[in-house]
Amino acid sequence: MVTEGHRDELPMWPSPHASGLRQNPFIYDLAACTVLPYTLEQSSPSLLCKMQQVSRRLPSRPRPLELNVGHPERDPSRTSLPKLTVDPRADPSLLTTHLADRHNPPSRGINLGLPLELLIMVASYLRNNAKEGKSLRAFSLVCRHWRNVALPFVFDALTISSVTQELDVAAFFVSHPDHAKWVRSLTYIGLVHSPLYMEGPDAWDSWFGDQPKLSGFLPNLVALTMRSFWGFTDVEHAPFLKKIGRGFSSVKKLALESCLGRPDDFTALISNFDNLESLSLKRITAFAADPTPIPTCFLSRLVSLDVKYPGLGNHNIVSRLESLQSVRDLKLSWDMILGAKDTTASYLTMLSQENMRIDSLALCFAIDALGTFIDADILTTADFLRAFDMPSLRMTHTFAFVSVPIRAISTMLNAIATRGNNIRRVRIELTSEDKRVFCANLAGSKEVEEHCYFIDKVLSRREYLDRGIKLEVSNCFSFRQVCEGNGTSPRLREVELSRYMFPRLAREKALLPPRRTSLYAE
Amino acid sequence: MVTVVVSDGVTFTMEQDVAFQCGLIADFAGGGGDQEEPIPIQAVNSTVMRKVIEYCEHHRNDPPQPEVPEGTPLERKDRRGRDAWDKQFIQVEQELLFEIILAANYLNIKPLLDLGCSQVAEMMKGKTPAEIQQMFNIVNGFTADEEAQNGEGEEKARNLNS
Repeated sequence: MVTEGHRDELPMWPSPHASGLRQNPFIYDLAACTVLPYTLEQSSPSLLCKMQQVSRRLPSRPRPLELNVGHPERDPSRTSLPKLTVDPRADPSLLTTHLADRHNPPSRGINLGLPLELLIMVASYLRNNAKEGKSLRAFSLVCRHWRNVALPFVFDALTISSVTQELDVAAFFVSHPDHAKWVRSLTYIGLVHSPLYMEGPDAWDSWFGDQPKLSGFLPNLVALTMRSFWGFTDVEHAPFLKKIGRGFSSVKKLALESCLGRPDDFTALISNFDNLESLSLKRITAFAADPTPIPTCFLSRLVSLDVKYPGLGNHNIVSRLESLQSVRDLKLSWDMILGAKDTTASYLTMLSQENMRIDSLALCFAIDALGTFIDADILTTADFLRAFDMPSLRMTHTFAFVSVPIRAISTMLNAIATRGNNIRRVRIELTSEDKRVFCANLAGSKEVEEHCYFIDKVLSRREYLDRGIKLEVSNCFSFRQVCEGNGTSPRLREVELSRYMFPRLAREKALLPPRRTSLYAE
Repeated sequence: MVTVVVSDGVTFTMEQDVAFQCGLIADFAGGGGDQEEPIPIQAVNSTVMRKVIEYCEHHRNDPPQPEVPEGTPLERKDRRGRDAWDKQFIQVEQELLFEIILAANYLNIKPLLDLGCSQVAEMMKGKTPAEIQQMFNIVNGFTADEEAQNGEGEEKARNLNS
């Protein structure tokens, strides 16, 4: 209900007593589920400061804004995209437009109406990708002020698809070093099949010559991706792989996707990145009978390893990665077509032998349509899980309730729950196929009943609840059971329910204690 | 109930779950209970405040949205955040649109701010720089040298942002 009225005079700000001394229901001791007294004495300085700050806030006053647009100069050591604090008072170049345009007729509209941080937000919506690149470039050419705002987005992520193009761009950055500093992500796509390369080997000769290449002019590059390199059997490509990584010393995230070649070439490439913290190998195909010995890679700073479709290529590369002890975030995905199930056991065994301390493990079992994922695999996985002391486990696309017997999944979860490990976070995410099946069987078929039974059993396990595990359940059918189950344990810290299928969110939400549960629906 | 008084002296009384979608009001109210004294919102007038309250009332029962990673493309944000009602709601005149954006920024209503900024971006889609300048009445302050330099940079960016 909204009512309107009129007041002749604006009142004073609310007194501290009116807002600060009141008991705040959002402050909870999560473990004990008790309300903590929230008094002005406990927080009076910050509260009063906040009130004063808020009271002084004016809409047109430019305020610093943290945006993920990056300012590599300020923190080049960060792996993740650094945050940029844009403050026109601190960065005079952003105000040059206003000063330079003083002689121009005053413009009305957005240029004057929106403060800088909101202009950056608009530009972020036009961030360069296949669809929005044109609009963002148009945005950058509107006026000098807008160009300053848009440049970090325009050159944020670049894609190179030919050797000639790389040389051309490198020459551009030689003459425009202020543009090069914004490049933080670079993707090479299938250089060998580009039309320019097909014109002849001259481009390769130039590339291997003394001409400047990108590796020398991108000081703030963080992420490098090489995609669709299918032709690394040719004589030029091995030296190319070995050389291309040199000079990208700032790169911390490397992704190799859809490549075919010799594992030793790839390990030679990886070895070039001394500061690598994240490595992603997806669909790397190698030659099985290649007798070339694979050199060892020492990646002492590697924190995140993501291996998808672990065919022979991935396996060979990972087997030569030393110092995996530093890996904390491990994601393994199995392919349903390549028959990787045969290598699963050896793969897990190999990783188990590493002295790894995993903080987060994501397993994506892409089980084939015949449902051949049998108990033995589950038990292998359970052994693998027991080998680590990980606080986070995420399982996705398990087909758990469609093609795999529930007792097999239960066996694994029970093994997790009852053995000595440190799992604190479990995420079970069903696939769209699961959802389809469930929706098609809402009349109470066996699948739905089994699913409800499973959820009920999982949530009622004291082994989970008593240890304060963060339990995440996606596509949950029996939401009420989840809510009621969570209420049984005061030690359960967090529950996350996502992709809730049925529109009962508002009604069921009331069952959950506030501030202890995050809910969202797609 | 929470009462606010805006710049032109109009007071609005609304229920707490509506009012607390505004981070600024939630800050003032201290997180709970009825607000006895009216909260002054000096930077927003009654016309804009009515629109803001209309938005908050429509979304009062929305579940909290998960954080969208920075850099999510516009189209993906659209799928997530904008329904038909939102699109209809934000179809307003340019001047009012900017005032809504400023109010959302001032009142700290992130979804409304996203909606407004995405609408401005939507207005620019497919437009040339000249068309954008005309649309927003902006004077191009580039010198001839800068124009040439921008053209070269734009050419490179067009080839690289594929």
